Amino acid sequence: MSEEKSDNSTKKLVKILVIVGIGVPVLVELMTLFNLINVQIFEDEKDANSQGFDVEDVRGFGEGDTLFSDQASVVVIDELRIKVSAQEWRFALGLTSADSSSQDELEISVDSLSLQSKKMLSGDNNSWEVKQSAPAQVYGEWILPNGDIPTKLFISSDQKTGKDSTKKVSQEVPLDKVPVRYNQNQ
Amino acid sequence: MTFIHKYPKAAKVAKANFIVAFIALAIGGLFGFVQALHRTNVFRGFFNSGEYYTLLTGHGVLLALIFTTFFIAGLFVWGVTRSLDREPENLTFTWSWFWLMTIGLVMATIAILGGLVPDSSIRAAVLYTFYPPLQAHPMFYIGLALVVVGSWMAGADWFWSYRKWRAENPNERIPILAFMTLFTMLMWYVCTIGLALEVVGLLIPWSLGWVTEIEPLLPRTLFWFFGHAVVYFWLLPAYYVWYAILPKLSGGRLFSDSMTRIVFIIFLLLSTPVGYHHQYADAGISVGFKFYAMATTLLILLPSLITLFTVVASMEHGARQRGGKGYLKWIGKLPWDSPAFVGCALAGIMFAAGGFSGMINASMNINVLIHNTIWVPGHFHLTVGTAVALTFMAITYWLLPQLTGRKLKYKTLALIQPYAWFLGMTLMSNAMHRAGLAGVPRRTAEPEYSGFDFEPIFGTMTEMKWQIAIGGTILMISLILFLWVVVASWLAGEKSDKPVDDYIPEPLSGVEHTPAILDNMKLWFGLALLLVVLAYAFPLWEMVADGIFSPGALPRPS
Repeated sequence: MSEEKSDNSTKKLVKILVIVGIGVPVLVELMTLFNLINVQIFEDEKDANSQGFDVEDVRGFGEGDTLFSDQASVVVIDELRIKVSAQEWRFALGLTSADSSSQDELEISVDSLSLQSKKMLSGDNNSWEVKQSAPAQVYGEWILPNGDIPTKLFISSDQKTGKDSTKKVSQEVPLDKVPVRYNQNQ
Repeated sequence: MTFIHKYPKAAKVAKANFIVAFIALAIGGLFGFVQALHRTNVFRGFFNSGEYYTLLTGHGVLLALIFTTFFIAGLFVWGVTRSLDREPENLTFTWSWFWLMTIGLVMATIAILGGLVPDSSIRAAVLYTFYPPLQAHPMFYIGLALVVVGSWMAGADWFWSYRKWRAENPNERIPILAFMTLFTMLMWYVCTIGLALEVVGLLIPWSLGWVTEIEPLLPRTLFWFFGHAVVYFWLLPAYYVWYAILPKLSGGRLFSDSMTRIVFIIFLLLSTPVGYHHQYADAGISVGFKFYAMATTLLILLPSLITLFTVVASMEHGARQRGGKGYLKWIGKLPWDSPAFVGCALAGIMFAAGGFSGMINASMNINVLIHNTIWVPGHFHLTVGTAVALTFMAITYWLLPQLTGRKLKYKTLALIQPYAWFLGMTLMSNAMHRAGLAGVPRRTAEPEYSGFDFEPIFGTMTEMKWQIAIGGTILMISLILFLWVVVASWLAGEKSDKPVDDYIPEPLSGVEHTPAILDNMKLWFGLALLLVVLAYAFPLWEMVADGIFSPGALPRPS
C-alpha cells in the first residue's frame, strides 16, 4: 500500500519536473524562434531598430564633449574613465582647453560627484596634475567605492568677464556610461 | 558484489580523482554564480570589477580543465579496470600520476587565487585561454604543465594495462570501454603536443623573464592546436557514457558496436586539425588555412550525427523493451524518474542545441557576427557546461554506489537536480546567445560601451540580464543539490553488496560485426598525426618565414 503511494507521488513529481524542467525550456526556445522569424520576415528591420528613444538625444557627456560651451573658456573632456585594479577603483578625468593657443592655466574644480549608488562624493580633496601648458591640459583621479560609477559631475570654472575680472561658473554634467578599464599593472 | 568489492585498489584511485573533481566543481561553480550576478548588475557586493578576470580564470580553469580532467581520470580508471578485468598494474605509478596532477592543480589554483589577495605578486588573471599578452605567475604555467604530464602518465597507465591484457588475450577484440578510453587518450596525446610546446617552450621562459618578448600569434596558434581538441577530450568521455551506459539506463542495449568505434576514430582523426576556427579574426594566418579548418570542423559534425542516431536508437530499443510503442509515444516509457538517465538524456538534448550554435561559430563568414561576443560562452555552456558536466554529474549517481559500496541517498533531490540544471542552463544560455547577437562582448565585468546602447533583435537588455541571473541562480541551486546528494551518499549511504544494478548488456550489433581494422591503433594514430602535419606545417612555416621569432620585425613582403 505504502509502496503504491510512493509510486504515485514519484509519478506526480516526475510530471511536475517534466512540465517545469523541460516544458519551460521548450517554451523559451520556441518563443525565441518565433520572435527571430517574426522580426526577420514580418517586421521591417528599420521599424524593429527604431523602437524606443533616440540614443543621441538623451546621452550624457563623454570623451570628446565640450564643457562650458557658452562661456569664454571652453573645455574638452579628453579622458573619462574608471581605472580598475584588484586593489582600487578610480575615476579618471582629463580636460583640455579648447583654445589651442591659450597659455592660461585651466581654473577648474570638481565640486562633487554623484554616484550610481546615490551617494555624493566631494571632489575638493583632489589636486590636478598639469599635463601640458599650451593648450592647457589637466588630469585628476578620484578613489571611488568599489564598483560604484559616477553619473553626474558638479564642476566649476573661473571664466574671464573682463580684463582683470573673473566669475565662477558652475555646470552640472550628466555623464554617459563611463568606460571601465582594467589596469593590470596597478 | 560490485566494483569496490572486486577491484578495491582501482576504486580507491577512482574515488580520489572524483573527490578532487567535485571540490573543483564546487569552487568553480561558485565563481560562475558570482560572475553571473556581478556582470548582470543584479548583485555586485562580492568583489570589484578588477577582480573579475581572477574569478573568470578560476571558473574556467577549475571547471574546464580540473573538474573535467580529474573526473575523466576517475571514469577511465573504472572503465579500464572493469573492461579488462584487472587492477592497475603498479599502484606506485598510478598514485604518482594522481599526486602529480594534484600538486599541479594546487599550484595553478594558488596562482589564480593570489589575485584576490591585495598586493600579491602571485597572480594568474589570464583566463582559461592562457596565451599572451596576458601573463601569469610562473607557478600557474608550471602547475598546469604538471597536470598535463600527470594526465599523460595516466594514459600510459591504461595502455600498460591494455598491453598486459593483450599478452594474455592475443585474439580478443578490444573491449568497448577500453577502446573508447584508449582512443580518447590517443587524441589527447596528439592535441597536447601544441600545449606542451606553448607552455614549456614559450610561456614558462617568458613568465620567468628569460625571454622578454613573444609574438602573440605563435602561442595563440599553439594554444588553439590544443584548445579545440580539448573540447573533444571533455566530450568523448560523455560519449563514452552515452554509448556504454545510457542504453542500459534506458532499459536496452547499445545499438551498434562498430558505429561506436568509428565515431571515436573520426574524433581522433579530426579533433586537432580544426583549431584555426578559433582564429578566424587573427591576422597573420592565410585565409586558405582558415578555410581548411572550417571544412574539417564541419566534417566533425558527422560523428556527432552518427552518435545522435546510435544513442537515440539505443534509447528507443530500451523504451520498447519497457512497453513503448508508436513513432514517438515510446519516449514516455523511458525512465524519467531515474536521475542518472534523466541527466544523460537532457545533456544529450542540450548538446544538439550546442551543435547548432557551434555551426555558426565554425562558419567563417557568419562567425564574424558573434566573434568575441557573449554568444560564445552561451554556446560552450551548452556543450561543456551541460553536455559534459551534466552527463558527469548524472553518471555519478550510478557510479558512486559502485565505487563506495553505498546506496544513493536523497533520490528525490537527485531527480530534481538534472531537471533544474536543464531549466537554468536554457534560461542563461538562451539570453547569452541573444545578447551575443546584439553584440554584447564576452569576458568583461562592464559589458557596456560609452555613448552606445545595444539594440537586441527582440526583447530588452534588462530582460536578458535578468534571464542570465535567474538561470545562473537555478544552476547554483542544482549544483548544491548535486554536491549534497554526493556527500551524503558517500558518507552515510546504506552499505550494500549490490547498491546499484551495474550490469552492462552486450550491444545489439556486437563486436563480431565490427571490422578488425577499426582496432588498429597504430594505423589511426599515424593518420591523425599526418592530418595534423597537413593542417599545421604550412601555416607554421609561413609564420616562421614572417619572422615570428623576431617580435616587432616588419612582416615579410608579399
